[in-house]
Amino acid sequence: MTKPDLSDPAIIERLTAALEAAGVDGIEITRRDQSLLIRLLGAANGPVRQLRSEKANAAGAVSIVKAPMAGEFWPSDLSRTGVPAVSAANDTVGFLRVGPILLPVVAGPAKRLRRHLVEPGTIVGFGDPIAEIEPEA
Amino acid sequence: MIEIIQTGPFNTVQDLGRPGFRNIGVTASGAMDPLALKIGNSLLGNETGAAVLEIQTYPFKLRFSKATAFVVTGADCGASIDGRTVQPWCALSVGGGQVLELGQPRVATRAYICFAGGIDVASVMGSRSTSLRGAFGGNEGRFLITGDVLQLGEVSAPLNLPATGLAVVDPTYALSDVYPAHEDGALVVRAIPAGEHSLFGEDAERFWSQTWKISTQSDRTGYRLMGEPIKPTTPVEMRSHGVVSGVVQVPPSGEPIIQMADANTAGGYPKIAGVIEADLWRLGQARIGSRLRFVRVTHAQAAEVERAVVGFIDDVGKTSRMVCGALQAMK
Repeated sequence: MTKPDLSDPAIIERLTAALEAAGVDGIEITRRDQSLLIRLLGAANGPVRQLRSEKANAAGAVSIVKAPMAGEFWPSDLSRTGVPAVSAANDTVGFLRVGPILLPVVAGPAKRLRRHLVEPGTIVGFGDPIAEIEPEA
Repeated sequence: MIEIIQTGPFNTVQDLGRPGFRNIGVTASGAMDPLALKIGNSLLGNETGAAVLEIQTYPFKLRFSKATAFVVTGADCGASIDGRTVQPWCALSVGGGQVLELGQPRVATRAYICFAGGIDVASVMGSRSTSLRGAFGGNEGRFLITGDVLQLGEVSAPLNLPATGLAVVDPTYALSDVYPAHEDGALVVRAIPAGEHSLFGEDAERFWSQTWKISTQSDRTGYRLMGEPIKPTTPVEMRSHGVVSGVVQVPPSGEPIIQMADANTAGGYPKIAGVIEADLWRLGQARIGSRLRFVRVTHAQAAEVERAVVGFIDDVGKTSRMVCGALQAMK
């Protein structure tokens, strides 16, 4: 089943109409790749719409970090948990382990990890979503 | 080219040393943690024995004068580039003007800064290692000082490192099936009984069973251990004979000395054991005041550990190249 594009004005219009018809104040939909918030505020000349529609790759929004290649997903450097670490690159959201090599996966500038989307030790393929990131506060 | 901005004493250029000249009194030198050196170089696509910086006093700071790649291996010393923390044992590309800073490690002692192409100082007797005792090799035969400028070698087959860098699994974790864990906080060091082992009678067993402490009289030449003394059953007078790193001698005090990277070339103390070569890097990272215990192994067991370590280093080199190639292909 195809997921609807939550940034599509036509879909937003239909959802708003449905909310108004049902007498509901608002709705928030959150998916891995998109989120949408519609809030209907009472006003003298009819309802006012407060809208927030976010795509994964939109600036300032929740976005998805995908696996740059196949590998075993590690949320952190599990090989160094036995000793107190001095170093830990602060924008790293995880690693892909390929044999003895760890490929760091980073959130990018001014981004931080929101949540991981795969369990530690999962074998992921190229392009698989592995983490949600959001702008730093 | 790199410029040393801040350094303590005893930080030197090292490679895998210059074996083969002990007969003329030239110590081998070389990295105290050769595993960290080899893995760092393998990760960067260098020859495994390329020259690196061995850092054992902190803080340490250098500036890159042009774009290159580097990795800090060995002790985790909170390395940062322009103030931004970097993952330990992670090869990264850097630009000209960027500053690498190392702080005091909490565990282990020696960090190794490896560069794409290696440190390009003159090779003396087949090695770029600094011999501090001989005052030759490395950077003018001395330890680094602020203001030193070092050239980097040409990169014959550069890796296209990803922007996120490329790290390596902690060798202790990856080789956990061949490296025993600490026992009650004591480092377990494997050794083979040496020529004069039998001269120590029952004391020989105490050599293996007791825990020894690394004394403050320890450096790159050797580690003096503290513990209940062990003595030969009868006084021994020996002619001086060849000594190599890893040899455990017992002076008249009864407290053993482990010869390390700058080992004496000859000595007359009786030898009770020889630390296996594959375990020397663990000693190289042991801190003064820490404890260790010797475990007796056979030549065959030592060779088995050696094979596993060589295989791991080889795997790092091949896999890093494969990962970089795959990432390039998927761009």
